[in-house]
Amino acid sequence: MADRSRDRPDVLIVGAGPSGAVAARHLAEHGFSVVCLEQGRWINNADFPGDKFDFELQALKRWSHDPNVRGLEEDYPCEVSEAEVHPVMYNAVGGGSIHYGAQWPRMLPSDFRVRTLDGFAEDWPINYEDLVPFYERNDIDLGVSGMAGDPAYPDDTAPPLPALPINKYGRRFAEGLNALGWHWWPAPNAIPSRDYRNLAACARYGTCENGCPNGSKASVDMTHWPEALRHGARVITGARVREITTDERGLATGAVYVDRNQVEHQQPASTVIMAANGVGTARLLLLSSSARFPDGLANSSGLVGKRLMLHPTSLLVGVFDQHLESWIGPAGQNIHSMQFYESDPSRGFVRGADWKTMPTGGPFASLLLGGLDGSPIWGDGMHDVIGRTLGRSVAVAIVSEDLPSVDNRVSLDPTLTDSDGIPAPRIEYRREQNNLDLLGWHSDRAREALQAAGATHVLVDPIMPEQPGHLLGTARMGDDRATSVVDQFGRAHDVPNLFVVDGSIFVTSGGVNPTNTICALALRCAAQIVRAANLQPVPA
Amino acid sequence: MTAIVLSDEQTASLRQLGDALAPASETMPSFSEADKSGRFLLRAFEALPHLAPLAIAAADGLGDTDPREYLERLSVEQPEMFSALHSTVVGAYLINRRVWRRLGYPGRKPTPVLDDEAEFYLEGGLLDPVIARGPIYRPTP
Repeated sequence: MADRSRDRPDVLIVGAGPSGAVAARHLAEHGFSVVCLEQGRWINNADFPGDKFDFELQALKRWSHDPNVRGLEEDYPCEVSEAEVHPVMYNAVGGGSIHYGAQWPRMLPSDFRVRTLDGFAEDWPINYEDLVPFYERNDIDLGVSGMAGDPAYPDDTAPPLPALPINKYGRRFAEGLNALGWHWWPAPNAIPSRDYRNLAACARYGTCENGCPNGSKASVDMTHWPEALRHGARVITGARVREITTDERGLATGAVYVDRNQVEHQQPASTVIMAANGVGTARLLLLSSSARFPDGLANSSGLVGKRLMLHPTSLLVGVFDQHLESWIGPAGQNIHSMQFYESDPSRGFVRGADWKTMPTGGPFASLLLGGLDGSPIWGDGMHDVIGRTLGRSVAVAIVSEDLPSVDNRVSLDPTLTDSDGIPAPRIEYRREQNNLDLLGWHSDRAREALQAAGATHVLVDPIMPEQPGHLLGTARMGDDRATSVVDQFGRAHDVPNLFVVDGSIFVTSGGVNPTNTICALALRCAAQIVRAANLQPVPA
Repeated sequence: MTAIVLSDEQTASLRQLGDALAPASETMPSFSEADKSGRFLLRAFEALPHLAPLAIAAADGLGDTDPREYLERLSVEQPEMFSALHSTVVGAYLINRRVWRRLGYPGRKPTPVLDDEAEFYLEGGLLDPVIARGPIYRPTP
């Protein structure tokens, strides 16, 4: 095993995705020495398929969201035979932001007080107002486009860039919502409407979720890592961590990783930050069991890996007689509606969902969407289906609140391993009745809105099995070490120099895309590490 | 990546199946008319290598059967194989610019945001009723 003990940084970060990048940048800017271990590689924007003629096919394999489909060397498999929704992720510098849609909503005040307001799940140990300064900072660092004044939110601070156009199809859906007297607003995106720092203005390829070939989407390999590196941080790519190591005092001492030549290394550190997403972080903590931590690192509560939340999502497609150029991006979101986000007991379920319009894509996607109602996707009827849907449709995605359950979890699979022989994560996930009722009710309302907008036909995908890839809750934060894994600053209750800063620490999921909140939490945790540096216990 | 090499028989079967999957219409070319050289089919195999064995096996199974009947049966009895064949062959058809032109689809191309375009789509006071109704959130208790 190679020994890097002479090179002990202040902080070791596992994972170079959004949370790791935000933490790395902040810590490096404040003088900390930072090393990040990332099992993936750097990706060049020119590699993304969005401007290639075979984009729609490349998106099904090489650029699939699903690591089990992609099957790249840097991916690890997930055992999903017991998972109703599959976790999706991307393993690279930039992590999930390589593939995300850069939809940038904040959570709402009520999301942090689900127990108090609705009598379910638990309250967070922090509130919305605690996160506002970090939301605002990240808006600037990522070049967020949006419009101030959304009545769904309490604050009125404008993001740094004006909102992107809502396009013809966004306007069409807005007209339907207006007809019903329902909320909508031009939606925020971490996609610049104008040139911004090293990001180019959005060219609306509409391929955001498979990487932006224009260098527009605010993936953290573009927005954060260059700044972190400029301040001295190091990223070691191709570094697959298999264990977080600890000393006799129970402090984290670093990590063991395997490089792409199958050589094992020990990377020491004074403080370790887990930023490997809600599946990867749980997997690594469970892999790091020892005599002192027999059930996995930081797992005296038994909650590591449990309470996995995946934001089940329904998709409705409204088909219109008019041509709406519905392949134009961003994708991304155009408008969103939070009309039914808050709980209403009369509906028979708690919590709610955010709706957002998106483009419906090119010919192949239009064919598959058009076939959702059983229309022919081959033969003589195929051309009619494409002609009816292509360019004439609006996609409405419904991202639903996913209440936590200890039965939904990440564990270590007894047989499946990655290419280095490290046990793979096993995902068990089933939707509960509240979510089934919630999405059914919301789909009915979204159908009404599409019909009010003039849709001649509404197609429904009740549950998208490989979307949206929001990996939350498997190392929840809390004040009580018996019922949570980390404190409100992401510090593990059991290991005082181990932090978790990714989506694992969510207490409840909210019903919005989470990357904005993941980044705000990561920045808040990193800021606390800076503030408390003099008090931080470190290994000898 | 290993290049896909098809026998003459497999190529012929795939073209027959392609024409059944994507037949000609009044406005659209058939699969084989649109991809005379087979270039797009090879590109589809390159993009979807994980589907190639099943798609080729589907072609191998055609024999003298009527392609439509064969596809009907395949879709019921071996849906995974049918799906692989469909994604590869119909996918090849729908990445073809000749097909795009007939569909009126311009392909993925830059569509820069124009000055005032965001405001244009909000014209007519589209947001006014939303603003007039006021806040809808629940504040932190």
